[in-house]
Amino acid sequence: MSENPIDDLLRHPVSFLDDSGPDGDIAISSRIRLARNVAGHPFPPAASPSEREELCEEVTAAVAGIRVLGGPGAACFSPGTMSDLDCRILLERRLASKEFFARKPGTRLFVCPQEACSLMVNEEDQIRLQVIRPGLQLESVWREIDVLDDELGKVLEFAFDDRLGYLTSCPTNVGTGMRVSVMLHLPALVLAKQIAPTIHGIGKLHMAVRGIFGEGTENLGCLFQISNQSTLGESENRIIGNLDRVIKQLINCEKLVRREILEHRRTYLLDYVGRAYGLLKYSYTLSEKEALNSLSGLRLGADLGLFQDIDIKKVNALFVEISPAHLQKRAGLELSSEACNEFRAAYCREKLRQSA
Amino acid sequence: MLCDKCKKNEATVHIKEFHDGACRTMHLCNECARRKDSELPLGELNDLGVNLAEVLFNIEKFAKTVQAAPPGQPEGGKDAELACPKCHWTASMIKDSGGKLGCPECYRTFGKMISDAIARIQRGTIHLGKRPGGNAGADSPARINAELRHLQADLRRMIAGEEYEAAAVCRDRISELREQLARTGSGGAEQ
Repeated sequence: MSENPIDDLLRHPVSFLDDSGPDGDIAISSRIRLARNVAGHPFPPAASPSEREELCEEVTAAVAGIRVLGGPGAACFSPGTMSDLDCRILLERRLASKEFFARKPGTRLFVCPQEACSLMVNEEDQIRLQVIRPGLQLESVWREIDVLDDELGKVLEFAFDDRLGYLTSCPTNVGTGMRVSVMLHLPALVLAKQIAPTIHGIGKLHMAVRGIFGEGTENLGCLFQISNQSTLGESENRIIGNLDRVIKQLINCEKLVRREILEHRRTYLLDYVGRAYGLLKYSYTLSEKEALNSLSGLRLGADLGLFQDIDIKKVNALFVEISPAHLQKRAGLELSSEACNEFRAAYCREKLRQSA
Repeated sequence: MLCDKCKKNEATVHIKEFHDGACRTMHLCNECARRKDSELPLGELNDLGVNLAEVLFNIEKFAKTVQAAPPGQPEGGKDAELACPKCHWTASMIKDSGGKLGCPECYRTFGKMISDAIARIQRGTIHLGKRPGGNAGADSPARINAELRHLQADLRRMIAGEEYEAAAVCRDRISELREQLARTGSGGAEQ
């Protein structure tokens, strides 16, 4: 292991993007997060730096007893001692949130060797435990995180109320403290302009939909995250079952529209994925937006069997590797926006050359 | 009628689009209609990300009552002068932090405000999930009945307060729980 654990992370592609999970052509990943707080301590937004540090040490001692997060091969990051660039790497790999880095004293992140499990200390809640796996496999992700939660609960006394359940900093998470999310690649629904009504419909089912990349109304790469909104009044199994059902329907819709486009708009589809491939393979400057949308097109083409020689794992990995901090880390120097676009284009050309 | 787009050819295709509740009609020639159809631009994601806490705590209104009160003479109801005895978090601090509480004790201190918010943002008001040290009791008829009792009280309060939207959510949840009880063969929920 190198001195900087960030370098170890970068040696491996993000494991949940390895395209090995069930329904992996559309469901990219399944993630469950549990919010927990330790009884007798203030929540992080109200805690002083010294109170956060004290709590952080308490949680660190508990994590040391959990093999997957505190054992050999697991990494520990303390943002207070990290460079801004390294913090952004963790953000881009979705291991930490912006809020986590806004409260540096007393924050710590534990990551298991394959990045499937992680634990943030002193984000909005004192403990944010996460398990993420490829494809649609919410039940097995729940089993995994449930065990980790039980192990932590043997050492730490969680803030719990008989009526309200696990008490969290924001009442939007109270109860189970559980946020279940599935990342979906929905290019056909986007192309057929069916995404807005779909999102509207899902919103009525107490579920939230948001784009993975892009701010506000911008949606890049046709990647969406569907998650539960309510955390109280239903058991974990029920929340997971409801979300799983809706996600499966959504996957069927996407498949149906893909078939429709393939049968009835084949020329348009070939042109769309061909342009995406061309942009990635022959450009000399690529913005993040162009790259994400082109990668989405390329993935769609590969999923539909229009490319025989594209390695989907490499395409998936590029969704993260073309992010600005990852490119700068790879280049080994700070890049201007223009230089970053040039480096991104060169990186994509090289990756596609290797892939073909 | 000339085409709205090229302004040259006769409009032969008339398209109605509904967006944000408004209807827009476009009159296009064959050529422009074909081009529009093949454009199929990447659709926009309607940003549904709202600050639930702010919307549902009605925090702006709440903050105004806090701010309107002269020092030492709070007017905004009982909660406006409250501070948590444990962490000293106040209502305006909840507002400033986007709806976050200071510590577990705040749930007791700001109980009324929090239970109103929970009734709006959550599907139920009672925890039915796992518990520290085991899952005993989750989804049990006793717990469902306990939630039904709370929900029925909430529903009466909401109807009295003319909060019909929240009441509809509450009513649906009551029906759902009754069905759940019936399925487990443990009827007898309070009507």
